Amino acid sequence: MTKAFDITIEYFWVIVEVIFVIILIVTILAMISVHFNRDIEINNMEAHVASMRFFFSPNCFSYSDGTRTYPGIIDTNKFSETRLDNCMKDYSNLRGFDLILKEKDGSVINEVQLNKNLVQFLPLCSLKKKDFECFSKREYVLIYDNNKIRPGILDINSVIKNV
Amino acid sequence: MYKKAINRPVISVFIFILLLLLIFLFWYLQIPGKVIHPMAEKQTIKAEITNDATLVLLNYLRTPIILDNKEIDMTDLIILWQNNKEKYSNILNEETKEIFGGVYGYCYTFNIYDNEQKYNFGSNQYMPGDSLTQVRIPTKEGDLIVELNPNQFFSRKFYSTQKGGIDPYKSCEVK
Repeated sequence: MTKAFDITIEYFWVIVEVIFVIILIVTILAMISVHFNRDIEINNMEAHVASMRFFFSPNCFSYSDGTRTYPGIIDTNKFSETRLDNCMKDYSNLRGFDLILKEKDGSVINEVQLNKNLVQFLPLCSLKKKDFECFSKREYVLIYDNNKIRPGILDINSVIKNV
Repeated sequence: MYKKAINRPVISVFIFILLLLLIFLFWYLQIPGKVIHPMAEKQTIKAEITNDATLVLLNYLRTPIILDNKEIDMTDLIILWQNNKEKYSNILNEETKEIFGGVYGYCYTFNIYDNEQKYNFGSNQYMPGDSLTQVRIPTKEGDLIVELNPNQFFSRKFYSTQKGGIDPYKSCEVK
């Protein structure tokens, strides 16, 4: 009787041991899994990085006096769709851009678009279920026009198609 | 001793098989597109806010204004204000609100530190803490530190994108 009881106790502790080991393993694997399965939202970041070209690259809209480029100053002569197309040509066709250059009081100076087939989805950005992501921001810029600089606003709207 | 000699190897094999099964299960869960992991977490990278704020602050300081029929920029106005706060406070306040108001509504903090104290020209809902971007202007009277923090605007904009119901341009307005 005592022997049988000892065996039962032994089994009981073995089961407890096994349960603890399983919990330990599951916890470790779960931690590793959570770490590797983080879904990082990069669409906004991609659009942001792409949009920085508008302000910093002399090949986009940034004013350049021939010697240096002035980041954040938009040259109205450069603000065209051809230029936008050229400066973003290495970006895929999965991104559409709509840029509106405005005076400080909000009146529109010019509007340019890239990949109009995607830009047409902008009014649908508020939908919850969609196969594209939207990105928008407003930037305070300086406008270079006729050798003068004045304050302005650049509205950037972007549609990024999910793949 | 006899009992352990019989039982332990069996248990070890059992645990080993179980371990293999668990590893296989988690490996399966990690294959993209097969199972949506319940713990998947969305992260938003916020470095872009700092980038934006730096550009806006740079443009702010270079903004031309007309003062006493002379064209100067905001940096000059800040230096004038440092020498005569009474005279230039109003115009500095108005210009600042006009410039940042167009981009961040009322949701931003804009401070100028001189050797006396800190002056806040931004939102009344001043939130102490980290300065997102700052510029140091050297002057005869000592350095001026100009700092901008539009965190409030971006957090409201982010909330608005996720849940709606908030106009980030108006939400910090003091009525």
